[in-house]
Amino acid sequence: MAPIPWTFLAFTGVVGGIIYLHFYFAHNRWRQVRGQETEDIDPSYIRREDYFGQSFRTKLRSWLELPAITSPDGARTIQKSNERIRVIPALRLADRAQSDDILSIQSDFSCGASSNFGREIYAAGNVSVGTGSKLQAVAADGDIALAPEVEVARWVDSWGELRLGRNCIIHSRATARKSAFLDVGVQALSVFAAEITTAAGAMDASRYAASSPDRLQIPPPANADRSALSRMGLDLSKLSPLGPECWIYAGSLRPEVPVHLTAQLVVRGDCSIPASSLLEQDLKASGNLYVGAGSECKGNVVSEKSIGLGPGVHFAGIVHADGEILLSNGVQGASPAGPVAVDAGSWLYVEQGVTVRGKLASGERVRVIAPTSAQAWRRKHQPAVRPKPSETK
Amino acid sequence: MGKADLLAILILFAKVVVGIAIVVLTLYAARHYGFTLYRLSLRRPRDTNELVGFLTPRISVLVPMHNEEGVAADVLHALVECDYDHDRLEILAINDRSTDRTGQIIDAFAAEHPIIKPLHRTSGAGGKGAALIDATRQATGDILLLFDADYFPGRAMLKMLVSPFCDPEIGAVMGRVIPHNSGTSLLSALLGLERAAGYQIGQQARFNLGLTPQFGGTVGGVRATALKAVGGWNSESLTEDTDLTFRMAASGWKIGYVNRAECYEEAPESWPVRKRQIVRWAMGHTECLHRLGGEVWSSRFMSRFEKLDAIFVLGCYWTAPILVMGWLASLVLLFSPQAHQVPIFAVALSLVGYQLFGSQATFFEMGAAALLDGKSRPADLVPLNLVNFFASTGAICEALLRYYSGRIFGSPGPGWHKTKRYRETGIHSGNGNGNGNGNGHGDGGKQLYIQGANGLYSCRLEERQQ
Repeated sequence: MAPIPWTFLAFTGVVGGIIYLHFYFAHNRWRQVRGQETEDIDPSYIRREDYFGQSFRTKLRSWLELPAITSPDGARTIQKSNERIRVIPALRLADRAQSDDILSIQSDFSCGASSNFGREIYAAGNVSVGTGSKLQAVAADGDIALAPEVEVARWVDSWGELRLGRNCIIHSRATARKSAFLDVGVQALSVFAAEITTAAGAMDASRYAASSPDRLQIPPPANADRSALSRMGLDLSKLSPLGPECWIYAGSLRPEVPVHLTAQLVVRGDCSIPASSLLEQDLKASGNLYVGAGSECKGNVVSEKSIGLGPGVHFAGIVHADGEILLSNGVQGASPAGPVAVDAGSWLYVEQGVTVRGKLASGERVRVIAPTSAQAWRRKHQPAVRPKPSETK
Repeated sequence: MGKADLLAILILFAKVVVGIAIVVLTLYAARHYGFTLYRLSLRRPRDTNELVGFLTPRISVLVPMHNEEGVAADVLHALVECDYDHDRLEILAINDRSTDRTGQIIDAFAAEHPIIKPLHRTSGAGGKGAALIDATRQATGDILLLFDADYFPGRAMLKMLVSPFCDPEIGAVMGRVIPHNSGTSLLSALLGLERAAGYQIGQQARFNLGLTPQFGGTVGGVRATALKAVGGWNSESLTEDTDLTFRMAASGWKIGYVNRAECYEEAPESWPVRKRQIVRWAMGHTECLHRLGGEVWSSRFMSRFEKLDAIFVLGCYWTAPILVMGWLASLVLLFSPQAHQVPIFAVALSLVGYQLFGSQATFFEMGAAALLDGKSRPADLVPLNLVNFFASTGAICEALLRYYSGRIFGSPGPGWHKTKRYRETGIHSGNGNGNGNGNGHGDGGKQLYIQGANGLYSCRLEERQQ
C-alpha cells in the first residue's frame, strides 16, 4: 500500500480553505449590502464659496432652539451632547482670553492679543481679534479684522469687510461679501470677495509702456511677410489651426514685440508674452507662461506649469495653472460679466498692490509676498527671452 | 509528416500563444498597477473644482431619448433644476422615433420651460449618433453637454462640466458615472466596483498624466468648434463616444476629466442585458481600433506615451480572446511530454502567474478605487468579480468573433440598441404614496422610488428640502 501523501493533502486543504474563505467573506458581504441604496451623491448640492460660514450659521440656528440655561447677565448656555454653546449679548475680552465653547455673540466681539478659541465663533456684529491669537473658525454678519500673526485653523466668513493683518494664516477658506484686504505675509487656502486687495505697493505704469510700435498679430493675416514674422519671434511653420477659432504653436514662443492675440492659442512649450500685449482670446501653454507688464488679457490664461502675470497686467477671465502662479504688483482682475478667478495647483503668490474681483485659490496656499520675493520668483520662472542674434555670436 | 511532428508543431504553436498572452497581459497588468499606484500617490488630483461657476459660456444640453417614457421626466426635471443661468442654457430634448409617450412628456415640459427645445425625429437613421447629428445642427451653445435619459444630473453638474473648458485645448470633458442601483443585484454591485475603478483610477490617472481620458458620450461635454473641426459625430460607429475621443486626440485636442462631476446612472441588473451592452462596446471599440489606430499612431500632436496608451485603450477588448487562447495553449503545454522536460516550477509559475498577475491588477484597481471613495464595504465584493470577469470574457470573445466574421464574410453587425431601463413605472414602486403625476409632490418622502414619471428625482429633492 502506497504511503498517504500527507504534505500534499495538507497543502491542498490549506489552499482550498483560503479559496473558500476568499469567496465566503465576499458572499457574506454581498448579503449585507444587498438591497441597500447608493447614497454617494447629493443631487441638490450646489457650490457656494461661503459654504462653511453658511453651513455653520444654519447649524447654529438649529442649536439655538435647544433648551438653554440663562444666567443673570443675560448669557445663555446650551449643552449639546459634549459641546457647549454660549449665547452672549456682546463680548469684549482682554489679552490671553481662552474658550473651548462655541460662541454666539448677538452684537460685536473683540479679544486681545494671544487669545485662544478652540471652537467656532459667530458674531452678529463686527469681530476684532488681537495679535497672535489662535481661532478655530469665525463668522460675522459685520466686518472682521484680524490683527497680525493671527492663525485660524479653519475658515473665516464675513458678510461685510475682511481685513487680514500681516502674516495671518487661514488654513482653509477666507470669504467676504464686500471686500477682503490682505497684508503682506497673509496665507490662506483660498480667498473670495467682491473685491480682494493686497497691501498698497507703488507701481509706475509708464515703466512698462511698449518699447516697440510694432505688434505681432497671432494668427497673422494671410498676406503677412514670413521673414518679418520670424524677426518678431513667430515661426510660421510651427503655427497651425486646431479648429476654426483655435491655433496651436508647436514649440516655445517668445515674441520680440508686443502680441495682439485675436484667436485662441495653445503653445506646446514655454511662452513669454512681451509687455503691453493685447490678448483678446484664451492663451494656454504646456510649459511656463509669462505675460509681460502692462498687458491686457481678455480671455483665459492657462498653463500646465506656472503662470506669471507681470506688473500692471489686467485680466478679465480665468487664470489657471497646474503649478505656481504669481500676480505681480499692480495686477488687476475684473470683468463686467462677473467675478474672475485665479487658481493655482500649488502656490499662488500675490504681490502688493493687486486687486482681484472674485477669487484666489490654490492647492497649497495663497500667499501675499513682498516685492523682493516676487522679483526672485520672476527670475526663477519667467521663460528666458530669446537671445538676440548679436548676443549669440 | 508524422504524429510526432504534428505534436511538435502544436507544442511550438502553444508556446508562441502562451508567450504572446504572457507579454500582452503583463503589459496591461503593469499599466493597471502603474495607474493605481500613481493615483494612490496623488496628493491633489488635477481638477478645476475651484473654477466651478466662474466660467459660464452659452451651453446646449443634448438628451437623446428613444422610448424613454419611464425616465424622460426625471432627466428633464433635473436639468431644469440645475443652477446654470437660464439665459445661457438650452436643453435639446431629442425624441428619437419613440413609439411610447416620450414625445408627449417632452412637449409638456417644453410648454412649461422655454429653455427646453423639443426635437422630434420621425425618420432617418436610428441610433444615438444620428440623433446627436440632428441635434447638433440646431444647437446654439459654445459647449454641448450630453446626458442619456437614464441619468440624474445634480444641480451643480452643468457648471462642473463646463469649468475645464477654460483651457482652449480641451475639446471634450467627461464626468464620473456612478450606478445608483448597486444594491439591486450582484451584477450591478460588481459593475459599481468596475465603474469606480475605471473613473476614480483610470480616468483620473490618465488625466493627471496628460494622456487621453475617454469621453463616454454622456455626463460630458464637447466644444462645438472642436466637434466641427474633427468632422462631427460618426453615426456609423457603435461607440460614437470612443470614436470622437480618439479623432479629437489625433487632431490635437485634449480630453478633460472631472471626477467631482458625479452623476447617477442605471447599471445593467441582469446578465443578458450586460452581455448585449458589452458586445456593442467590444465591437465598437475594436472597429475604432482598426479605423483610428493608424491615425492615432501617426498623429503629430500626440506624444509617444499618449499614443501607446491610446492603443492600449482601443485594443483592450483583445485581451479577452488572447487570455482564452492562452488558457487553451496552457492546457496543451501542461499535458505535453515537454512539460516534464523543463523545470516544472518555471512552467507552473509562468502559466499561472500571467493569469493571476493580470487579474490581480484589475482587482487591485477596484479595491483601491473603493477605498479612495471611502467605501470599504463594497470593496469586499472584489473576489466575486471573478464571475463578472468570466462572463465578460465570454461575451467579448463572442463579440470579436462576430466582428471579425462580419469583416471577412460581410455579415451585418448587431446594430445600435438601447440598454434596458429598470426605472420604469411600477418596477420599483414599493409602498410609496407618490401621486405619480409628474409634478413632484409625492407624499412618500422617505420612499426613494415612487410610481410615476419624475418620481425618483422629485422625491429626493423633496426629502432633502424637508
